[in-house]
Amino acid sequence: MLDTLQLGQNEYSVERFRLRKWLQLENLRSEIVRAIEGKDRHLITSSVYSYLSIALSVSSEELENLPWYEVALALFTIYDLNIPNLPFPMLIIPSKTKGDIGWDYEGRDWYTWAHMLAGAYGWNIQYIENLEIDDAIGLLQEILSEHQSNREWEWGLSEIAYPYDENSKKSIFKPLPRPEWMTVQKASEEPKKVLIRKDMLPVGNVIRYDDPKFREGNSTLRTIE
Amino acid sequence: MTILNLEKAIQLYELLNNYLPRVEKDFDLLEFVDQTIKNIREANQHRVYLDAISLLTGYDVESMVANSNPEDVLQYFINGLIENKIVDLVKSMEKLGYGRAG
Repeated sequence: MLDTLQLGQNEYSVERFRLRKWLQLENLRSEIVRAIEGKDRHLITSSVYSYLSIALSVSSEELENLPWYEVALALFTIYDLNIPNLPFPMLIIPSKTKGDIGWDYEGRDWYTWAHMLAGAYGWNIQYIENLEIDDAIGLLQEILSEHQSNREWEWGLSEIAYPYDENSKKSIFKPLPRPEWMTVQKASEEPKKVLIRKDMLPVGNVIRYDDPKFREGNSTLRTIE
Repeated sequence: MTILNLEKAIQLYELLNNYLPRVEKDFDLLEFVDQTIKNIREANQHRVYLDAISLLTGYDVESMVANSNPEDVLQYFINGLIENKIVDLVKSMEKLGYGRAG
């Protein structure tokens, strides 16, 4: 995928980034989001300029003298070009437990990803930094799923997984908590059928929405559809 | 008329945000600007109006009030919003997640 952008007098070719640069820009994108949430105009502008400076190798001073709509168009073009093509749950479902850790530093994401991919596949840094975004995300998600599955197995073999329950006077299995992105059910899954006592069922003429006879005779429903 | 850079465009959006009408599908740009002016007038926000013109022209409010007649000032405002693509600004701010009040 290749796109061209006009910024002032210059034309830039932009293409989908590879893993390392993508991660760097994703961090800057998060900065833009935080600046927007904080409604800090100056910070929004400076983080947008930082994003474009890295993406296009343009200086912030140049961007400062450009009409806002050229800058915004460049930002959105690059954003859109770098959205992963597949709906990876790991990226879509936010982690509620994520917090700042003491040994964190700017740009650590790249080293975490490189470490995990190198550990799993034995690739070198140059190869990993040039991975296609979707491939890298998909593989990382598989690595994390495998780690979780291994941990769950080990957990199931340990004593700590079977705490004693005072009420039942038995040890009950307590599963290892999963990350949020692994706990969400697919929307397409059928809801579980539950048996309801006859005397608790609605009385009278029950009309079902999915009954074709009812839908044919009801113009209101047809218009809603 | 000044074409605003990103920071000043955000400032303009923040100033006018509460008075900008919704962007409808088949909107007319002049009607959009006209409605914005009506909304500012109805809210009696002269300062917002003058601050926006000051931003769009680069003149300070006091000298503008002293040296320009109201028709010229109104024309600056209309031209400024049109040249600075006000509707695109609203859409861009919404796309960025810098939502509108209400």
